[in-house]
Amino acid sequence: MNASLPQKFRELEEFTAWALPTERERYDRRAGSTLEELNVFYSAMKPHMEEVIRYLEGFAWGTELSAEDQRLYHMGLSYMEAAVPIELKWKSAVAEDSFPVARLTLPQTR
Amino acid sequence: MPEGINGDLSGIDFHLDVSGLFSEESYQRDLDQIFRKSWLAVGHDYDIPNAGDFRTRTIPGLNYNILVVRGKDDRVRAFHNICRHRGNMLVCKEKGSSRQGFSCGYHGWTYNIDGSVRGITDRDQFPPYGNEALGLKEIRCEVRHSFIFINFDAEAASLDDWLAELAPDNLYEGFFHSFEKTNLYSATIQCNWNIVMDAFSEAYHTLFVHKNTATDYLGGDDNKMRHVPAMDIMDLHARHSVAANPSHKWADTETLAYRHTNRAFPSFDSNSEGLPPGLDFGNLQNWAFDIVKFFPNLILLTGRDWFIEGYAWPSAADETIYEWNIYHRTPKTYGERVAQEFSYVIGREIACEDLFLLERQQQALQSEAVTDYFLSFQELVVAHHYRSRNRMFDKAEG
Repeated sequence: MNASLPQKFRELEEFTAWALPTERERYDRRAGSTLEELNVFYSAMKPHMEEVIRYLEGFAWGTELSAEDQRLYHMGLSYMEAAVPIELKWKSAVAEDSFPVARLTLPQTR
Repeated sequence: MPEGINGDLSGIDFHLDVSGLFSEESYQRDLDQIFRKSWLAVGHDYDIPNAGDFRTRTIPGLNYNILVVRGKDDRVRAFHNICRHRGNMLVCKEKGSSRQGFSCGYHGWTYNIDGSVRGITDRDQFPPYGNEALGLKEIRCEVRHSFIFINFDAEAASLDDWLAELAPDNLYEGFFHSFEKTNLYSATIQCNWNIVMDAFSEAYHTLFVHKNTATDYLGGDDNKMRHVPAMDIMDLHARHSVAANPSHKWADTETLAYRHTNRAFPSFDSNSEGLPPGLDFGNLQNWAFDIVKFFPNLILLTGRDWFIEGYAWPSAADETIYEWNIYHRTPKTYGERVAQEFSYVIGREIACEDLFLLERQQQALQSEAVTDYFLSFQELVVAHHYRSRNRMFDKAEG
């Protein structure tokens, strides 16, 4: 099987569905997940996040990333989405009493 | 009256009569006597750095489509985006760069980037119109603190006069040009634009509206009610600064993020040393950020290493197009960018809490069952907005 993440993060292969390039996609995946599903992703990523960030600190902003590195980068961004409901102890993946993200125009690319 | 308030408070009502605020008449009056007569911020000069760089946008409510372009003389100019032949929309792209100017898709008329007409197809078939009549219709335009301001009123006072205490260049020297713009959000909110401005004018609501996102980010044990330690009340504009909670408990991911990038929402770096004087203007001990309201519709939040700008554009008596941008310092690496994402996501969540509430408030208020507000001293900046409106109405009718 073709490896799709950098060597030292192969453990996270099963979560590459979270390697989403836009805020819209990352938010929608979060919103479509149960808290349990979010927690699976969050708990798997959390112990690695310091390493993920340090690894990505090796790439200057604006340079082109390889496909593997870009996947890892997008998973890092997704982690930040997933962390919100978990760490704030919400009852669901989506905020209560909050303007629907579906009605926002979001940035196109990151 | 609390401490830390500067400025002339005469004519400010804390018991505010808002009857009719949501009516069609009031909306038209806001457009005619405020939006047609004010200096409006429509973008930033750093978005159009080179000669020929341009942006177009619609001004909601007034429904003008404007073209803003950097000239060969480095000046930023604004025009109505309309061909002078028969009124076709001239530039149909949102942004781009065209040093040689623009051409109309209808009959090929061309214009230079200073707005003068250059080529008229089949010119000798026309009566001898002079070129001066055929140039693009120019709109008054000036740049300050990197913001591009326009004014549809040819008779309006200068931007310097309008900004008054907020005019000096040194207030924000170099600040706005040091950020990476990565996020543009917009939303059409079913509420009147005035209540949008109100929502961002006080810290009082943060205890409740943001309890699920930023539970303890402001105030703290010595300031449980999140009193605002500094407020400057000016003729039309106002600014205030809010106090960070020195005992704010960091979430795990917050701790992770701020090991790798500058602190931003909802943690704050209170040290404003080295920043231009417009930031932390009150020299606060626990400075979190400033909220500067450029009347009529720009809300600017400034922190040590970030800023957020919000524009409330009235598009109907019960509708506002709200646009906002979040800026962080340009990240050095992709790793830092991941760390910054923490703040972007929480910032979006917090904004969505405010916007949700506004639609509910609109539903309640538009019934006119209740037509007054009872404001606290902590909501002075809310009250001030209505004085500014009245001052514009007096000017227009006087």
